Amino acid sequence: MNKNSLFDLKKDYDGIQIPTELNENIQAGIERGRLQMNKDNKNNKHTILKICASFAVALTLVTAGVNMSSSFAKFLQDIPYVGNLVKVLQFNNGKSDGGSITDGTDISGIDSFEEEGYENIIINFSQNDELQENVGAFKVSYNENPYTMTFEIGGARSFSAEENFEKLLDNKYVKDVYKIITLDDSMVRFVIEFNGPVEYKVEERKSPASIIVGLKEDEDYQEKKSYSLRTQSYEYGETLGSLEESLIADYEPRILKDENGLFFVEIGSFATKEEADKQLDELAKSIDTELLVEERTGIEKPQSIVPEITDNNETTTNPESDTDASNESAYSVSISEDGNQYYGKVEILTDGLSIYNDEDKGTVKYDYKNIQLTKSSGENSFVLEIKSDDKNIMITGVYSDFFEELGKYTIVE
Amino acid sequence: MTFGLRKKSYVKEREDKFLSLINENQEKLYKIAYSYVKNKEDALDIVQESVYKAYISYHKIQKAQYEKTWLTRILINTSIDFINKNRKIVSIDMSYIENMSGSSNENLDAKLIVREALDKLTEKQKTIIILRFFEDMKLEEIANILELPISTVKTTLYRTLKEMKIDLKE
Repeated sequence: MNKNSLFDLKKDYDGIQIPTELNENIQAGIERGRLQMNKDNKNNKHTILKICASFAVALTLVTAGVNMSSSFAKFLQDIPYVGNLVKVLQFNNGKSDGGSITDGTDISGIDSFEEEGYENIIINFSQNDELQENVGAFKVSYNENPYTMTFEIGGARSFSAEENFEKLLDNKYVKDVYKIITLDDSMVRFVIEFNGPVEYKVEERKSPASIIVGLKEDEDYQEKKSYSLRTQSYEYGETLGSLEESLIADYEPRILKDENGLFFVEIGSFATKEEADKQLDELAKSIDTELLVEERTGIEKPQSIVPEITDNNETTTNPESDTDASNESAYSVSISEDGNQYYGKVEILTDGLSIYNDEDKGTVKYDYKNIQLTKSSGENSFVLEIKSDDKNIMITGVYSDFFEELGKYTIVE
Repeated sequence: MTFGLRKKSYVKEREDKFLSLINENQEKLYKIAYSYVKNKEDALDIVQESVYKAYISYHKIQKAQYEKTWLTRILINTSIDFINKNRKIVSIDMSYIENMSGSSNENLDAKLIVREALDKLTEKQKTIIILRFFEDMKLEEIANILELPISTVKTTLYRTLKEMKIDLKE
């Protein structure tokens, strides 16, 4: 036997095929390691290592092809994957777009990491528990007062990364992140709100599909006062969606969250009050919705302004009114019940709350013993959540002695 | 394209380094494991187990230049453990046999003889052959991986080749 026989064997060795499952097994090994380390650290009362993967893993997936089993799917939400650069988006008036048309996308991952002076946000996409190759057609826009970036992801049917929104709050520039109502069921939209003006760059990447938003503090930026032409505040729901849709043909509305977690549509933002008022007058002729102009600067949270409330005295003098709600202790409120929004009144009784619906004139009474009450308050208004076995009602009203009165009869969390 | 992620903390930095190390060496790890067990499933299991073991002890590594040696050692030890535990069961992939089908009959015979000779070797001998001839490692590296003196590696190598009746001078 000679040396060549051994070299032939080396050729065979070099030709050993690398199975696509190798990545999956390596990932599984790493995940097991992480779990073990976390367990050990917990036992030692040390800080738990935050799970985070790197480009190295992403590159591996790219070079060896992406073919993952469903058992691997759970990793998709936990690990950011950085794909190959397709393009750096060029923004025009704060707007840009990218991606290619696709459908059935799940926005599966969202995370934050630091790199070369940028605080980055990474968004990953998958389909049927496999990382998606290309980003679906998307639009992104940056706006001020408050500073936000709104994403519109076409072809997206689900948003499992929503569970991981808190990961973004690690990013020092991110103040809030929230999904906004979209009446198109093949699209998901969400807003990232920043805690100051930012310099940004957005990259589209593929194999696997990813969007990376790089953020830096915009130190030179001078904050400007602006006048927001907006609607009143509503619960997340169809009312808000329809309102936006009625404005979208002629304007470039954006949906924003207010100080109380309600939402409104901003039709436009103007540099002077005169311009905003002028536009308001124009719009008032053609639109059946109450609009207002709000002055805002920088990161100031938009106010929660709920629909106009009828004065109590008017109610009492109304001869048609023969309900309990005509009582002086009734508070005018905006009510959201299972996605339906209506105006009405709530009366505090000794054993329960009575809710009067202005639209159908009906009254429903809820005994304190059957409901759970949770309060949240803003500067100018309050929100009371009423939870019973089969209903979830949100009541919004202007700030008053409501809770003081309510507190006499029941406990509010 | 380069896109190195710089993590905020030492832990993240270490994790990055570890992932790069695995990324660079994963194919080698698989091939070595496959050479021991000759089937895909077992080789994948060995790689997974090795990556796990490496992950949980990576923080103990003091010097970066020994990382590859250390990782290869883990893989080899894991492979040998696996073989010892599963000695009674030998499962050979069809692809292992198919890999040889590209050769002429004459070569095939010669290869089969070498393979048989290789299979008869002890695990230590086999490891030295794989690392020296298939992975083109220097004797010093092999000695580091196996934690043996170079002289021992050298002696073992020549004795092994003699047993396999391979004459390197030809």
